[in-house]
Amino acid sequence: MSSSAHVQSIQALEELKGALGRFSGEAQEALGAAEQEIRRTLDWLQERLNHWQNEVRRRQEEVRQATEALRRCQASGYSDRDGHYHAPDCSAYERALRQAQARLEEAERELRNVQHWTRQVEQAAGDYHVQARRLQQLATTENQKAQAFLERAIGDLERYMAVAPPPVSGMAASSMPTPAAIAHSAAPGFTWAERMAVLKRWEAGEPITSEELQRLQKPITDLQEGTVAADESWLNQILESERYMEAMRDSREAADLRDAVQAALEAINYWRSKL
Amino acid sequence: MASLLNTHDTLDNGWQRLQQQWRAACDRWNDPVSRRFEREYWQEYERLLPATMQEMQKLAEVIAQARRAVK
Repeated sequence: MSSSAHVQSIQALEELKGALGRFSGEAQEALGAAEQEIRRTLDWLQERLNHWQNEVRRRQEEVRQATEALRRCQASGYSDRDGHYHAPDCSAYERALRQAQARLEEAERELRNVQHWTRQVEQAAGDYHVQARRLQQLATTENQKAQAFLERAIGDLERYMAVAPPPVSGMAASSMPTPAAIAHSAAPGFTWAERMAVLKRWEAGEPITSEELQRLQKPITDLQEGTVAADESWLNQILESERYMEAMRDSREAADLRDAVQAALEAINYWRSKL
Repeated sequence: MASLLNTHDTLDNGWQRLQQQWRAACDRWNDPVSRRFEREYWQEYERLLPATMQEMQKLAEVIAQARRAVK
């Protein structure tokens, strides 16, 4: 990867980090607004519930009074001297009772309706909240971690640019792992003994896997003051070895190794300046 | 209803912008670190945002129905 490519990568990462920060704010604002809307709706439903509960009680009382009025009317009939019973005309009271009963049924229906929709909204809000809580976590804690990850990647690229060797003609530069790639690689680092073992195998003419190449560079990220000299000495041994000189002629494996060694030496120089 | 739908649209627009930025970043940032970022962080956004907006949409519809049905 060329220096200009690194600059572009850094710019891309900075823009992505900025976008993540903006989205964090937008998502939290949206979640807050949605929460307010849910609260407003549930408050409104509760107000409607209270209203219809009161209406049911009030209309039950109306029915009771209409029933009582009808009963009094019906009781107002009388028998004359001849024993004939004269029933009163209570049709108006009967009509009033039917109307009161209809109004009560309407209130009871509306009360059931409010209860039904309250359950529906609470269920939908519950389902939404499961996702919203996860998004809240993503938009805050995880978003900060993602931004921190990008910040580290930007830092790694910037450090790499500060220590990267100039492009070598014919070098497979794009295959060279960046310090960022090395630092974040899943491959574990080598101990000094492991590195020596790989070196000896390589010097004996045995192939080195791409993973081992990657791991050869990995210890750069955890250089210690006490091992810098030894690391540098070991890397110089490789560069001066007959095996290295021979392999340099036409081997792709050697080209990769050269990339690794040169990147490692540059990184050591960088780290030495920091110690 | 309008309020929650507006909120849904705002979130959707923000998500579209973030996706555009991610695609632009991928064009210039393609290495093991970017793949690790995608695996550890970005995929969770891709999984969670559509699911959350879908639930928000459903909730908005239920609230709209309730507003129409309840006197």
